Amino acid sequence: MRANFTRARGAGAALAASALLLTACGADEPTTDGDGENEALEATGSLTVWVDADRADVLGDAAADFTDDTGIDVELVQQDFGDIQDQFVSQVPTGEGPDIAVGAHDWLGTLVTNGVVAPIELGDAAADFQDVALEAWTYEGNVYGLPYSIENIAMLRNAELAPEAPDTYDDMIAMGQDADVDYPFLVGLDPTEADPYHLYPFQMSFGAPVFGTDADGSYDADDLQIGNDGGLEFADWLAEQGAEGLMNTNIDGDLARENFIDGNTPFLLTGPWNVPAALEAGIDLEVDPVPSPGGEDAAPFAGVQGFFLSAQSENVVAATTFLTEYIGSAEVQTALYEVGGRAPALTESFDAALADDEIVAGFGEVGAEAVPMPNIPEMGAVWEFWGTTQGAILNGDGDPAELWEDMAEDIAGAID
Amino acid sequence: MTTTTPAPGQTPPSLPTRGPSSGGSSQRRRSRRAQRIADTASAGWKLLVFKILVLGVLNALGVYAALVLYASGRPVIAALVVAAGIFISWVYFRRGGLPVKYLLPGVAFLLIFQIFMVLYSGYVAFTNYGTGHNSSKDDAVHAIMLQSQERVPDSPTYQLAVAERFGELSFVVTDPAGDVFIGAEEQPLEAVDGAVLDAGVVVDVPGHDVLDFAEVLQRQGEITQLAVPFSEDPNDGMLRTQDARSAYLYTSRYVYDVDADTMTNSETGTVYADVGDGAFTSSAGEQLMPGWRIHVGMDNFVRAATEPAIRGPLISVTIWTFAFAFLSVATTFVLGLFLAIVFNDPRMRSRRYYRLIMILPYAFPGFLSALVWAGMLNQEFGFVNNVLFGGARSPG
Repeated sequence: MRANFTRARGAGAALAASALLLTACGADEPTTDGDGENEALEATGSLTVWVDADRADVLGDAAADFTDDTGIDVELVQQDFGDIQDQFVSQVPTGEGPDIAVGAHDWLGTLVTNGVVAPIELGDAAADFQDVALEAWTYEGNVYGLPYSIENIAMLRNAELAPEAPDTYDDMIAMGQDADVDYPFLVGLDPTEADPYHLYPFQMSFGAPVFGTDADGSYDADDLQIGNDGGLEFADWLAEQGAEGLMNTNIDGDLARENFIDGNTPFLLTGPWNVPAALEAGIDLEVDPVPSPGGEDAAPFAGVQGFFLSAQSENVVAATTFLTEYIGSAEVQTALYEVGGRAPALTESFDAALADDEIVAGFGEVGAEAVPMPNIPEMGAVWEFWGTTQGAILNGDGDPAELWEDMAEDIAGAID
Repeated sequence: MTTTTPAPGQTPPSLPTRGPSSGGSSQRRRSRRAQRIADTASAGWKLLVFKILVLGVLNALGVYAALVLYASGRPVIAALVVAAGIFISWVYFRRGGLPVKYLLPGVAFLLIFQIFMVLYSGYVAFTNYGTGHNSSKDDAVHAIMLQSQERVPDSPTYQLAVAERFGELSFVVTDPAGDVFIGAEEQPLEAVDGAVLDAGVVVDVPGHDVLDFAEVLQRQGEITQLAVPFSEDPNDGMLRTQDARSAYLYTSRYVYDVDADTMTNSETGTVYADVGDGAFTSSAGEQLMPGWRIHVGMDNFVRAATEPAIRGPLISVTIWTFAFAFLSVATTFVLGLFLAIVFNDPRMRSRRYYRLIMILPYAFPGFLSALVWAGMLNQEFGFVNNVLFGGARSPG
């Protein structure tokens, strides 16, 4: 009996210890707003960088060089890429945020609206980056991040089934039918949401971007273009593709990939993430620009990843130096390309990567002409209606022009 | 406390003693008893040391936390930590009170992880916390000032050195033509003679000390805050730097008037004032983002009840929450009981196989089943439609 008491009390004390610790930690959460101003002016002499696991090694090398050169320690904190946006928004105001974090350019709307990210002035160095990469990281005229990679979709071609790159969409379908396989062309779709991201190049070729752009190239939420005449043409065209069975919402991304790997289709519209599986299956792979059905350039969305600076950083000089001189160097950009496999944002590294790998070159050439995915917060309202409308049109659930017009109205309503 | 329960730490009640005539056996018994008392005492002693150590560490941490909290201007929480520390020490050092000793850790965790969370969520419901309102007003002003810096179009890059005189910092810049200028907070740029340049950057200037990189880093906060007017005319913009090596000419779209607590758009002249909405608001009702956190009283609840776009989903979600709570218990209970009775009935043939099929899904992770079922139910290519229904096209 006594032994039991003793043990229980020991455990109790240990629990209480942690309880008090937690009380101390937990309790200061609600009152964190409004301070941090006092400490803002004193330099700590060390940088904190949030980075995902894939990027950590490369950043570790860059950080070691930086520490050698400047004497400033860099603390790398590994985070899940998907968590960084929310964590950054909630932690920067508490003073617990990092100086620099990695992220995707379409987070910018949220980050800027919450005032947690600071602009960086690249000066003359801006000319060294790919245009699409800088445009993506530009918000209301200011550049907010140092880009490092460009990701976009392109048309994968099985060269055994289709030896030549098609010029137009109709060309591609004709070549696909000549190849005498199950499907002339495939793109992975969702039964109800279709896939606006993958179908965007086709929509663009009809001259129907989501938003217009203002003088400095930023997207303008007041200038909704999706419902213009080109958009209606695209809706009609999409309904035809659905009716003729050229696009099938029952074929999801996995089925599309499997069919491409099995040689059941010569063309697959997809991103670099499906390339390893195709190469492993021994497909004679070529990467082409997306052929245009509407006459204009079929530009896909580009997603650009980069590193951005906290608005509450106490080490602006050190952080900016680390961003522009180290992460922006050709050495680091190339190293990041080697672990990520996506075209680098720095032109010097971009050219080297394209010369080095045909697949990357294929995606990179499309990416250089791509349009950045809109980074304004209004984009949320677009996604909501866009996919379901495309799904309905492809499945033949109503008049395409009417559906498209309703969607444009709904989006305009949700933005106001 | 009751006296029937022996409190831990107390010696056991002494055994009834017998007469001295009990002889050898009684002596043996007595020595055994002495042994036992010694054991108990030493166990108590070890326990006491353990208790002192653990509570000592705990209290040391508590004192540290309280000092830090007090120093950072949160005396109430500091007092709470001290009170918690005293209370925990008192509970574990006093005799008796065994139930509290058992309950305290659980209650503490309940307070932190459940009750505190519930209260905090409740508190947040009375603020405007959310996108665009996630920090203090000072942070919002800071962020608006940062974001509204616009580089003057076609202005050159100035190579920069930071110089110091009597503790005051100046920018010494070289323009692309190689001319050197100096300026400080209240002192617009003016040409300077006698500067020594190295690769376009000023390394020495008469009357000032040029800071080296280590000194720059020590004062980086001051340097990045410094704005040097380009000329007497404020509309020409200010020179600022981010990396202490190059400076650029900026104009600010918004000017913050500290005394009036307003933001003024320098192009249109529109004045945005703090009207209590948690953001700078113009007379036309336009708000500058980011704003800041304020208490909004019942506003959120009023909105939820009056705005149809929120009210509709809110009502459905609330109904569904209760329906789900009820149905998930009722259906699993009813269906489970039904299956249990059926699978247990001796008249049921092949019970064993049905039981086996019943238990199989437990072996698969939920997300995997979801994927597999999505594939099997695919209208055109799924197993269910192709094999079970002979490839019938589903209507719609």
